[in-house]
Amino acid sequence: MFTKTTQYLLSLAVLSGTAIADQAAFDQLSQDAKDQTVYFHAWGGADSINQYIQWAADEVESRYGVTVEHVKIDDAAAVVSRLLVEKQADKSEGGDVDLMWVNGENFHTLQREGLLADGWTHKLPNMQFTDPDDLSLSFDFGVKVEQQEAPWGRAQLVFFADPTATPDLPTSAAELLAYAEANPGRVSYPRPPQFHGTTFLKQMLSELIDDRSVLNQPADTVDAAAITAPLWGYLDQLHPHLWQQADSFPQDAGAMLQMLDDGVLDIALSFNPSEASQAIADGRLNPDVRSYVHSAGTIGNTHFVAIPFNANAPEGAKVFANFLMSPEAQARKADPNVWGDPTVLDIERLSAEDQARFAALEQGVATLSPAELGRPLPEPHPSWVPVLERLWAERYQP
Amino acid sequence: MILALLLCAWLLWQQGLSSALVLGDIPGLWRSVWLSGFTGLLSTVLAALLAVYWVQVGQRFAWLVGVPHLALAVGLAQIWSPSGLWGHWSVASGLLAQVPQFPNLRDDNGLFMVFALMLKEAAFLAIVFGSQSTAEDGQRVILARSLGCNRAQAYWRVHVPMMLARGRYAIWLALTYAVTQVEVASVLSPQRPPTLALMIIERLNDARPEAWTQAIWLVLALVVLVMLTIVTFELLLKPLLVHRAFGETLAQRCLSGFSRFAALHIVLSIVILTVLAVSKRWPSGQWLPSGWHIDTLSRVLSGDVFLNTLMLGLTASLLGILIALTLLHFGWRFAGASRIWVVAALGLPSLLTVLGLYWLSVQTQLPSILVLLWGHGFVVLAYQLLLLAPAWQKLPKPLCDQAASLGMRPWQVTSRVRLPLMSRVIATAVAIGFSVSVAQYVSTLVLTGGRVQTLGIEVVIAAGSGQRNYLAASALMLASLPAVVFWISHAAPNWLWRTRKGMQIVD
Repeated sequence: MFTKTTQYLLSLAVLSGTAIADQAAFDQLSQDAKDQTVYFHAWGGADSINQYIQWAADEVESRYGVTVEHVKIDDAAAVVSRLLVEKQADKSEGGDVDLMWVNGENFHTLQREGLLADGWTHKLPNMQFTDPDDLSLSFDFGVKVEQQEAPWGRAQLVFFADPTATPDLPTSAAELLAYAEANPGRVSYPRPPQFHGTTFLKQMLSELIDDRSVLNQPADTVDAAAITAPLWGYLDQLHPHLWQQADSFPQDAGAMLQMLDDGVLDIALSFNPSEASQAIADGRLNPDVRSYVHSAGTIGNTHFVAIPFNANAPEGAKVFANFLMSPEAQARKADPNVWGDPTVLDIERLSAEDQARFAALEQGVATLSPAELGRPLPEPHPSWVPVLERLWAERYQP
Repeated sequence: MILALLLCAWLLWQQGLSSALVLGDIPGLWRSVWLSGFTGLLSTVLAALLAVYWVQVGQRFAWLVGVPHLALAVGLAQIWSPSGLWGHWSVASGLLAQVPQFPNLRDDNGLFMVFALMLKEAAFLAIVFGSQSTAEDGQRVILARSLGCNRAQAYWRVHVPMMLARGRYAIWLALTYAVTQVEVASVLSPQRPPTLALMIIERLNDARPEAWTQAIWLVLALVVLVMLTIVTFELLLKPLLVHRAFGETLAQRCLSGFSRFAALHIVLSIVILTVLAVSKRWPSGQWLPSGWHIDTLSRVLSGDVFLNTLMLGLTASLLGILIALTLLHFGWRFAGASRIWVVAALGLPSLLTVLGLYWLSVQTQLPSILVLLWGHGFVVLAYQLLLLAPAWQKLPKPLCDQAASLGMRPWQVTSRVRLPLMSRVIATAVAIGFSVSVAQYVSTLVLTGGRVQTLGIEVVIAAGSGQRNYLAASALMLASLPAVVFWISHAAPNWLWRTRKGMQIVD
């Protein structure tokens, strides 16, 4: 029998052999990708993110000869809708989308409708820097990823306010209601089905029900109306005290941040924990603004990039996805002066040089430390999203 | 257009007519239908009245036609939103202690949307009304005055009915646009629920499989709504406008004041876009932004998006001119079936065409850029034919006959006689075609899935995300591009043919 040391050495040899084989395969992939144009469909609502994507595109073009065009979209669901139409029309190649930035809800639809390319992420060399035991990378909104999407960044719901003007920050659903009652018109949330608006509903629902585990189950297997009843009761109380008495809502989290700076709202929210720091560094936000989270925790997830079934340049898309996961690109993305999006890499798996890149990053004046952020609340099963959006529309869009 | 209708019908046949029942699942549908009809009718009536007034006092806002609806809507929002000019100045002046909670730009009845639509449509209608004025118009008013009408009575009883009757088709076009537009609605529409057109866009952006079926039914509902609003305007509202027998003087004064209010907003919206495009943060309660820079403006100007918009507009416009002149050369006339085609191209909701073209492109797998040029060129060509056909028919036939008798072939008669004589109209048609193409937001987005990014798409994305500096810079460029092309189109013929006067060479 092998000793433990022999076993370790053998496994190391096998792993390094796999890595070499992967590298050879990736070199071939890079060759195939040369001169391809990748259409990367990604949300274009934040200038900092757009500039980061442009930087990554320039790098990939100079290193691999792959041209990346950032197709700015305001909702990834529009891309899913297009892919559905193309699938119905049997357009199985030459599609308009090569790579897309997805959230769990859209990933669930893409996977269910067979709109994704077969598993491919295990072929990317930079996957070795992620933690294979990290469930947030292998499950997206509770749905198994099946190597059909590559992790790109992490998100957690955070709230922003100016503590000098709002000393008693509301850190729970109940406190938020009390704050809104005491300060009518100074609180709001984006209108569902906008992504941040739906996240706000999920956050409040998570706080308002006793047993959160029920949200991990598909919504059609439980009594969704009964489970969500506390949420609607809460919103019925909250809406009369919201900005414009909830007759209208901010378009999205970016608009809320602008309204916070303009003094229209007292509280803004975002899925990017570094967004306030980034905006302050950019001169777009009152420097006194700080981030905070609710005491029961806030919803967090990992965001991914995926390749559709009929991508026109799948090789180029994989090369770009691999670059986005590189320590260099991840460190730049995590910089609050650039984007401030937390990395998906396991720092301990990086070389000393790459670890130093991350260590050198400043946290940002308004960014919470990982300890302050706390453990994120898991996303509910994706089937809750359409249920919440439909019930919200039926109730508040008569 | 017919193809679009047939494709919609085929798709619905596939799904079954019972799929119309999905409309019952849409919350707020009837409210949305009412909202679209109400805002469309009100904005068109006000625009028509304002346009008639502008024609009477001398047109001053013809240039506004070239400014895309979207840019104007963004400018107005930056004036009136609680965090806009009004919000900042009301706190800076000490009038209010805190940024006001009102007004609500997305009010339930869409009144701000009506105001924005009215300004743009008034400019369009004023140009049409103005081009149809004759010397006899003035004499009719003089006759009314000599028969005892005061100035206001002559205006309301003679001038207004005359203009509304002549501009009937233009009013229908304005009404159709107002009911079906997405551009202004994306910035100023109420949200609970939005307009019908915006509801369709939401369905097209919806990942649920049934959303497309809903979108198609909603487009057909939109077509019916357009017809209903035109009938309502003709049977109910127009008689009210043209048979006024009381309060003319008061109405005249109101119109005069309203015109000044509108003019102030047109100018202010351009000014505020310029200020925000070159400013840094604007702290709450300050009269002016805290700093200035042109980085964003430079980035927009040097970016691919600007270039895409410019190239797409020029390509669509020049292609349109080429096709229009070829058609006219081969005897196309603005009459009969041709007239129906042009009116249908402009009068049916663009969402219907876009949806049909998109479905066709998916089925035939045509390159998206080709479909995009088709989508843009279709509308551009219709506008250009509308402008060029009357001018072509007015060309002096004896000159063309004489050129032919001197041995010129038909194409030489066109290139060496007709085109020089029409140079100014052609230049104007290029500029109008360009501005129509630049304003095509929905077709660009749907037909290419966003792969061709234009300033219009950029503005809509930025409008929803609070990037005020970037939004203003993009909207300003969106407004400026057509204006520059209009200016060039006016100046170019003067320069190119500076040595000619008609057919005569001058030193």
